[in-house]
Amino acid sequence: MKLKYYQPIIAVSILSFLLASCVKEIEYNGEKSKSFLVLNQIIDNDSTFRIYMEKSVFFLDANNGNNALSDAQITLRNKTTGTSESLTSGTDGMYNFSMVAQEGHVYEVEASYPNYEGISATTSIPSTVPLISVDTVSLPGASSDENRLKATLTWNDPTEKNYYVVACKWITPFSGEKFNLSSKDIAITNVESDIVDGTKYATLFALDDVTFNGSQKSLDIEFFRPPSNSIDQFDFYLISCTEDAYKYLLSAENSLNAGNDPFTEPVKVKTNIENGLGIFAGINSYVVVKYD
Amino acid sequence: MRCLSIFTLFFVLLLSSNLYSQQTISGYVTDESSGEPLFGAMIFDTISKKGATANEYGFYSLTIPDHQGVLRFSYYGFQSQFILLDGTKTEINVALGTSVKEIEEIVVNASDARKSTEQTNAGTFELSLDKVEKLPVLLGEKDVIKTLQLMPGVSSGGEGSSGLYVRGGGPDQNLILLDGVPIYNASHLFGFFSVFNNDALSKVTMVKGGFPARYGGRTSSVLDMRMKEGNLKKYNVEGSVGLISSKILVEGPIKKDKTGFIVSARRTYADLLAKPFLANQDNSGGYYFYDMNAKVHHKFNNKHHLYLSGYFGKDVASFKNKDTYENEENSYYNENKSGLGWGNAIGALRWNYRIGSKLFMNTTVTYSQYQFEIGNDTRSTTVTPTSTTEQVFQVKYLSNIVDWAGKSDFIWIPGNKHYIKFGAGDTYHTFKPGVFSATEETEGQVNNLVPSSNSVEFAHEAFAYIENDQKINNRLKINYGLHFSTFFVGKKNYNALQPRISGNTILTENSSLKFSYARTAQFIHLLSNTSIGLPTDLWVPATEKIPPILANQVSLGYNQLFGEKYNLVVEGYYKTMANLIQYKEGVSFIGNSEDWQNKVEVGRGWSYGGEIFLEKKKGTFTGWVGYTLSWTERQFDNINEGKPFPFTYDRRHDLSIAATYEFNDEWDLGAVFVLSSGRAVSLPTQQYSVAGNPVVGIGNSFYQGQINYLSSINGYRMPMYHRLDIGLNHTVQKKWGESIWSFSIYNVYNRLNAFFLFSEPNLNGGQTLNQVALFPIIPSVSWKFKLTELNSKK
Repeated sequence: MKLKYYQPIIAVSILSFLLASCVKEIEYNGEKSKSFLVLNQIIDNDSTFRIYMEKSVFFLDANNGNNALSDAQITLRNKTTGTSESLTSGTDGMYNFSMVAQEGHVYEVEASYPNYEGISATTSIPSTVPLISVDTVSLPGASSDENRLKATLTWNDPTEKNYYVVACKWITPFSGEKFNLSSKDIAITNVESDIVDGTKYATLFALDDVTFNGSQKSLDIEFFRPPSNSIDQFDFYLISCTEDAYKYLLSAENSLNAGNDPFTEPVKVKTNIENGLGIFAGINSYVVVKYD
Repeated sequence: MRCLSIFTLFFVLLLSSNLYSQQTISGYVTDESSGEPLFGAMIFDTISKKGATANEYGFYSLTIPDHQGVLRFSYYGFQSQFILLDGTKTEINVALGTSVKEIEEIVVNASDARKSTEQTNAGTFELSLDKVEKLPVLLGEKDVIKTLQLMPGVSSGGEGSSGLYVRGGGPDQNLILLDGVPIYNASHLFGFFSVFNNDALSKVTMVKGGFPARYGGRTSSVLDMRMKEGNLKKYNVEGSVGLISSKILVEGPIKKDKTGFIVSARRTYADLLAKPFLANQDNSGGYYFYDMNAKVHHKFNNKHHLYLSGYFGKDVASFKNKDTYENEENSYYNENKSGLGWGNAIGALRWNYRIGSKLFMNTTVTYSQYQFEIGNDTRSTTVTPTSTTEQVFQVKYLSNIVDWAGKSDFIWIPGNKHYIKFGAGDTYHTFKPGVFSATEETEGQVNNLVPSSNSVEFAHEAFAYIENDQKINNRLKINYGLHFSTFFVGKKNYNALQPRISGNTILTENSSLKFSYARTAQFIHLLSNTSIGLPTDLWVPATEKIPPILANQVSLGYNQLFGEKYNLVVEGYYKTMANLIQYKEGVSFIGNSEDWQNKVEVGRGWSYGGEIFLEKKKGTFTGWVGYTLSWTERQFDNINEGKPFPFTYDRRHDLSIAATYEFNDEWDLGAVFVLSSGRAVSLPTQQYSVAGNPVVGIGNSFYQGQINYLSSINGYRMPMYHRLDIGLNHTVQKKWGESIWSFSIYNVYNRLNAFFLFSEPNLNGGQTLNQVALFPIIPSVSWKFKLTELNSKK
């Protein structure tokens, strides 16, 4: 072999050696933070409470995702009516209460588990904000077998501060899946956007009413319609959220999208659990069903 | 307005005390061998004991009682001259020579040592360019910014970085002036080297606290660098050859004593060295940077000087790859070229006019441009038995800022107690903060997928200022003034009245107490990623939605001389900053065309700390120890749940030790040791399951995913940073001039300092925390030469 054939190999080898020599495992030198109790419940109006509990895991420790706590003590109170309900056992960390969430009511939860600090949280169920209309129109896709659908969702925003999540599902006889939505509406607060034209993409869009408080809002969203003939219906959701639910959903979505990307700003996920982690927050969803 | 009236009254009252029989002597003080002005040269009347100092153009004005006397002109390292006053001379121009008698050296050294105690402004220092030459640096690339990073209160952005972080401010908050023209991005090679060629510089001054009113537009520091003016007496050629770059400087007279020029240029050659290895490869790439400084200086007479200066520099990185795929019927060829480039271009035309013995004017027209661009060009060819189809896809992203500016500065020296500067100017900014375009071409049909947008912002930044450096008595000097600036952008107009005051109280012959207050405003922002600083950072203006940065800083300092050799400076400061911007949580800084204003949060910051600087200035062993203890925090309503968090470049402890030892005229040794707290980064502490929205889930699936929980943004510290560099210089006088060999070892004990942290899954099902370090131990050698034989032959 002539020398010139070796040259790139030598160059790449030297470069690889230099780079490899500069990466090394290091000790975590911060205070190893303690494990917290995690309580998760985003509760919709007219739904029964199903509270999930687990313990958090130090981020460098082995985590198989199965940290559920099924023998915690949880007390749920309706502070509006004064009723309460307690459970001391669940299934795979899920505690099924019989209490049903009602619009305008305030709820408080307290939970404890041996060797952990007790946790608590409070929320309310926001008022329904109905969709006035959902108008859909087909758009040409990038190719002949792709169809895009544009939907315009319209609603009247109440005068107080409101937070929303918008989503769309398509329902087949076999399953229901969310669409990946796209929109250029400036009221959307999701941070993921397209590199080319600034279009935002997400499976759910978060909006606050800073730009349309107290007035009628029309939101245009687009999505690729699946190339299937078995679609039965589209469900368009306008979900009115408490501030805690809105901030949690937005920050959790941003955090999951960011992953470990060093070029993305770090995200601190919202929690309203006193002495713990997770979320206990109310929402009120309104759905408009459109059939194909 | 009330503030303005008080200042005006103050000026009038103070100036009215100079109306008695006096004579004013004025002129220029220059270097005899080159004609360069001697900024800071001292002029002293040995009879009345009154003195003056030459400005950056060598101009001085001294008003003394109308008598016969003797003026002493002195400058450190130069032989003093004594001029007898006979009552007829009002203009005295002096050229000082460099041969120094021992007894005079002691006198001048003593004066020089006392400069720091007598200087009015706190937090101001002048960098010795000699130190820049002698201290060891990465790959032997002598660098002004690297040396400045060793000063207390000034820290680097991280391993190899040439960014400056002064008293808790960001890299955008430094007013970096080259001959009075602002430079936006002062770094080469992704921040590892600065754009300044120290061979072409004559003076470097840094202000980090008591900003005089003449400076405006930035909130954290001023780095005022002056290029050499071009030797009016003789030709001089200097150059150096290093491991990664070479540079050359040529200066000399175009017309002796009238017109001089200086040109310097530098280029890296890593790309040229790598080329043979990468030739004929499917994948190849390269990187280089170059820069060039040039200046022409013409003296019409002793009243009028004209200067034309410029800088141009660019970094270019490129990557190319080819793919080929063939099957029995068809062939596919794919060629991909990517490029990345950024650079500054500046120009300045300056006219010095000595209007009278007490009034000096400097009028400047400047141009400054910074541009960053990234592009990709993909060509795909498909060959089938019946046809050949070629498709081209091109994308381009460009960010650009252009300034045209004009200003007039006046120096009025009504008497020895007052040194008044005033002036006004305007800068016309044109911002293109990220323009994206994409085209697709198939069989000659061009389709503009994303037409190049015209997202251009125009703005005017006008200012006026007045300041007075006043000697109240033999123990108290104050510098006070006002800087007013106004910024027009779109339909919005921002005004900022910025009072400044600094004072110096001489406690004893060898000690002084300094204080300062400065309010500063900055009408442009740098939008940058908090983890890694890249040239993709966008310069953006204050807009109707995003207000300008406003800062207030107070500082208090104590200066103590120990004999003529040692100088101790202790300073404390507190600074507040309003209207800072930062990307929102979860935003990726990689360019996209969404309006940048929708991607940022506006918040505030504060910084406080103490600095100690102990310097040994004279002798064979010289150097300094600098230590900073500081806190810097940021607070944004929608970041970190509104709670304050440490600024990325918050350094609790920062220690620098720099020393040089001269064995003899030929050999000198330099060493640098730095130690600082690790950078603040965001690292999760816990993991837990995400809670799904019961209606539509979250993320890509219902009830799936683990959340990495951050207890705080920037809540974790990278490992402590420390490093030792040593260097040895061997200077030999040759028949043709001077030869200097520099040998240096960067990171002597091979400390792998963390540049970046990341975690990855390990075999135990958990995660491993890893660090990336950039520079292990790196030896280097460079050779520098100075040709003087040219002049002998002439």
